Amino acid sequence: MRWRPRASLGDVIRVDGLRKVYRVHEKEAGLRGSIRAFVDRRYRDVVAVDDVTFGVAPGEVVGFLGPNGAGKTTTLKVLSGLLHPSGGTVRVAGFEPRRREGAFLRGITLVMGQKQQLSWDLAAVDSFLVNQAVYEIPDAVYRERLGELTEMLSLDGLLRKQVRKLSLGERMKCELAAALLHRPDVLFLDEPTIGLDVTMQQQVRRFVADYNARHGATVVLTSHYMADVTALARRILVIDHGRLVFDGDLSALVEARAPEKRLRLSLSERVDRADLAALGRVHAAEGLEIELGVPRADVARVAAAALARLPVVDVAIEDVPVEDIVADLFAQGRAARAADAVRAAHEAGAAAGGRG
Amino acid sequence: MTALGANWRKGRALFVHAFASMTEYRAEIVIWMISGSLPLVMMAMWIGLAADGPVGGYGAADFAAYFLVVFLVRQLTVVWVIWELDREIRLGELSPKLLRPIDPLWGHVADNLAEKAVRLPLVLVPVVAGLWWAGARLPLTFESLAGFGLLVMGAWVIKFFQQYATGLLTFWTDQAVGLERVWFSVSMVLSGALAPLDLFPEAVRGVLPYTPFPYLVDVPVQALLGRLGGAELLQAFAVQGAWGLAFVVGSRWMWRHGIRRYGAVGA
Repeated sequence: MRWRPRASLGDVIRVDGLRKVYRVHEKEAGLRGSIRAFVDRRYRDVVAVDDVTFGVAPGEVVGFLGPNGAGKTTTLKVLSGLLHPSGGTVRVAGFEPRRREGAFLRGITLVMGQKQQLSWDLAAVDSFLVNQAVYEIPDAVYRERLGELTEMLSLDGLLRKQVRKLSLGERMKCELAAALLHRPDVLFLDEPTIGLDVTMQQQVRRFVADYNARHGATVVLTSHYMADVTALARRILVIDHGRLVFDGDLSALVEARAPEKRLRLSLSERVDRADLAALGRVHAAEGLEIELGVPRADVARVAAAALARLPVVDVAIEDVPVEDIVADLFAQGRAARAADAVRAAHEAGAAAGGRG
Repeated sequence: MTALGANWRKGRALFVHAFASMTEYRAEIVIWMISGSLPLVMMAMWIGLAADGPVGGYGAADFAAYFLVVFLVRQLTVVWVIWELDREIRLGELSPKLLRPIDPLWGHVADNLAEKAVRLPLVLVPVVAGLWWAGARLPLTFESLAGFGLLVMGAWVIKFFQQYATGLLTFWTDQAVGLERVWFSVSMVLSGALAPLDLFPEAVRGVLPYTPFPYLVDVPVQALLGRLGGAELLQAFAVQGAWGLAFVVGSRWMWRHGIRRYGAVGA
């Protein structure tokens, strides 16, 4: 799919040709490898983010999707000033993040599902008081915000408990509150629901949506859970092997990548597979549960035909799950890279043959 | 809110928070205190050697006074920031601290000072009891007390920023902690923690005043024992101050350059 970089002058986040290269030390396994690494260290450059360009408008909620190691978190760390980019330009709220100026840091936050800022041995409120002083929040404003966050996140009874005695979900809620006491305009959320149970995931999602609605904050989030992204973001950025492979509306992605809908049928008795195939592509036929792929335009007609011709007990029409669409997108990316590699090897072989 | 007022509030908040954390670890602080009792072992050894008469002008009570004050100085200048930096940089724990609009340095300073506030009363008890038991008398003049106080602060500044600078090497190499062990071994000998520097060979004593080592232990100890005159005190302040400044400037330079290499590992 072709897409055009979306960046405009009014954007609160502008990323242009961002590149981040890590230098990693390579060592072979075992004693031999250790000795060799001791004498002769070898390094390799790994391109984590490659020529990524996008913009985010104020108040927008954008979701980053991508497999592990795709470059989502690296991008977020560059945006929040933790990492210096290797190339390209990045602007957030008019600042260059890598400079980590006070005014920039007071306007953003980064919540990392796997890193915590709260002191393990103290109550969450002890860490909040440090944030109050560090972000120069006046007492009255602090009390008002803490009240609001307590209500939105149901923090009653949690704030005075030692952080290590809180459950993972309770701790995440306190982390969110600590990260938002200074009321930032730009939120970077990196896997904010990782490890949480379904109810707590929903609570966190609802809170982020509420916060965005109440304060008009811009939100950029990454998640492994598709539900996080579909629940919060209308626009998604799909990143794979450091490259942006899609930037656009979730619904546009679904329509473009999934021209079919799924027609699920529960039957009262078995039917011939040929009868099913006449209606549409058979995705699954396990006993009496049937799943057909049907072009969007034909859904109503095919459903009516199925009801008329088959012993149908129940029927449901569904979109293809976004997970499947994105997995498909990544698989295509891998296939394209593999084809490139084969072509390159072939050309190299041909060139070598030509010389010989 | 004025800038000064805001900074005061930040400093106080960091200190209060650090103090609360340290009181959670009070038992650990006692254990660390005991682990720093090597000067007391040295004291017993030197007192034994002085049983038949003074060694290099030090009698048994002199050695007792010297090493009890060595113990006090080392307890008041204990720093461990290199282990914190090593962990924070290698494991990415620095990330949450970098997001706050305050230099992570101040959090470490607050932790260290808060730990001293918890440790000081615990340390004074054995020192005062030991001095009384050994019959050692300290002159305790304004000059010796003020000189001692300032020199202990200077020693802390050198040790803290030397460790901070060494810890920041973790941005480039994972051998920073190893380097610190080398520094530690050398400074144990050359600072006077194992033997008073008066007892060192002439050639070594000629060079030592130009190094930072004597100002970490021996010089503050001699100040409290009333063995330094006004001119010697002023000279000690000047050299110690210069070393302190060098380590402060060096560590700030390393921070500015190292932070670009930070990998923020982990999610």
